[in-house]
Amino acid sequence: MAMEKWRENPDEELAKIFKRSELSTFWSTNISLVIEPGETLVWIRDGQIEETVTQTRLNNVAGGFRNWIASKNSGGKDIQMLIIDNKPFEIVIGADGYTKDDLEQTGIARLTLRLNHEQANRLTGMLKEKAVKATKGFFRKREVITGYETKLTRTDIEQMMAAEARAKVFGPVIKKFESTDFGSRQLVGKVETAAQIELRKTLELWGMSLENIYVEWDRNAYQSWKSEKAPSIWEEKARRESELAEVIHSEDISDIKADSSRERRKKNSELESEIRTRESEQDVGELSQLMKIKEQINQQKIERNKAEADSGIELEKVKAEAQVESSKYNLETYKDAQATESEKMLRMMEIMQGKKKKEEEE
Amino acid sequence: MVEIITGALIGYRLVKDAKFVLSIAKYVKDYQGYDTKDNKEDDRAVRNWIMESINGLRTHAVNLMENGYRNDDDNLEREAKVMMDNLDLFKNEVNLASAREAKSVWNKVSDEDFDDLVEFDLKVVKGIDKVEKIMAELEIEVTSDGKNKTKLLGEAKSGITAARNHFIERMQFVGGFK
Repeated sequence: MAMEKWRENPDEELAKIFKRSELSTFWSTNISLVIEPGETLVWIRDGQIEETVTQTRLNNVAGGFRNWIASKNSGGKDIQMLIIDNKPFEIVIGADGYTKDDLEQTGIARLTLRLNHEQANRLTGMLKEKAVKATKGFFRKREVITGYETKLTRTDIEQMMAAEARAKVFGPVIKKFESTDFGSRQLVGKVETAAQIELRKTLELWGMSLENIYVEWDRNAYQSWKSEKAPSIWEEKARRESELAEVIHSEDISDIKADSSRERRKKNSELESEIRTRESEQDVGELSQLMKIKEQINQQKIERNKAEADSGIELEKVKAEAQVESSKYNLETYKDAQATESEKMLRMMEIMQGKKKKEEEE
Repeated sequence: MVEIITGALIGYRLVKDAKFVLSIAKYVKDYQGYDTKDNKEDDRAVRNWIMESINGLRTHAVNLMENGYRNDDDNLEREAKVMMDNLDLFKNEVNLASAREAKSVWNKVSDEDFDDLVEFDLKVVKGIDKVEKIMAELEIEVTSDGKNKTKLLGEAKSGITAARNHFIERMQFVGGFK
């Protein structure tokens, strides 16, 4: 007889529902179902738990599991078989928040949970609320419910608990403590108490119980959890937030742009009028300055002319004096030259006379 | 003479068992005192009742813890946590007991042993019921800031331990079935 496990991935799958249609085809073949210790099979007829069984009980039923299924499958409208792993299991979620003194604290919380098989109807009820939707239609696309979730996985629970624990447990508890209190026994106790109280509703809705919780305040562990396991809800939220921020930002930018253009226009017109005023003032100033300069130039011209005239007379005077002086000088030099010449002549005459005497003597 | 005494003893035993069975049936629906074709049905019914009752006790404990948390009563918070831890361990034992029924022994057990099992069941059921009443009273006492708070806290804690011990004895008794 072939043996069949009810789940493919025991680390991930925690509960699975089999519907009547699946039971009458797949399970009624020559297969024996293996339910390990700590697992429970719950038989649900018309939404009521009819039987809670284990593998041992199935072995005791004459004819084995196949006949047992056949005996159970008659009558009743809605028949479901739910198999639950009711051993404690651990989930890891991120813990972050700001302390009383406004310092960010991050870490990872390890929660030990257990699915209560005696509350199996709650679990099936909640799984029924998780509709599986698909988009149909070619031209006009619409979302339709194609079925309901039949599996509960560890990741589902992690995703479900992470956001709620973050908002209801870690944030408020961290806010009550100073950063120096981290690592204290009191904080450990408060986190556990807050988790038991604040997550109670969700846990009870799902037929689960929280057996233990502790937080490792380790920034690196939190970062690696965030990058690997952070719930898709968070990603979606982050995406929406970023979109919203972008919209707000673009609106702000357009507002700023409009404001700035308006401002710019206003400033431009003010500047233009100011420039015009300044220009006219400057023109007036420049004109008056020009007039002044022109006047000054005229004055200077007059003065220069006057000075030139004065200087011309002076020059003429100087020239005349220089001429007088030069003629004086010329005269003196002429006199001197004449004297020198006459002296020369005299000496020549004397020499000539001396020569004559000498010849005569000879 | 011996026959009369034996008959009287059997009669006394039957009456006593019937009384016990009736007492348990007040709490556990359809309890038959291991007198049906499938005796494991009664065992499972008792264990399911215990588990559901433990869930109820746990809810009381969480309520007490919440009261302590909201009113900054660290002592109450701690005591409630101790109760919850004990209840979780109790529940774990009940779950483990259900996994232990791998031995198909239920068809070979003698009537006397079943009678003793009924007595064990009664002790556990009555013990849990007693704790339930104490915890309900304790919750009211805590909310109204009554004087008996500390006394009831102690009684609830010891009641949980006593009921758990009765269940362990029962588990050991069933484990001894061959």
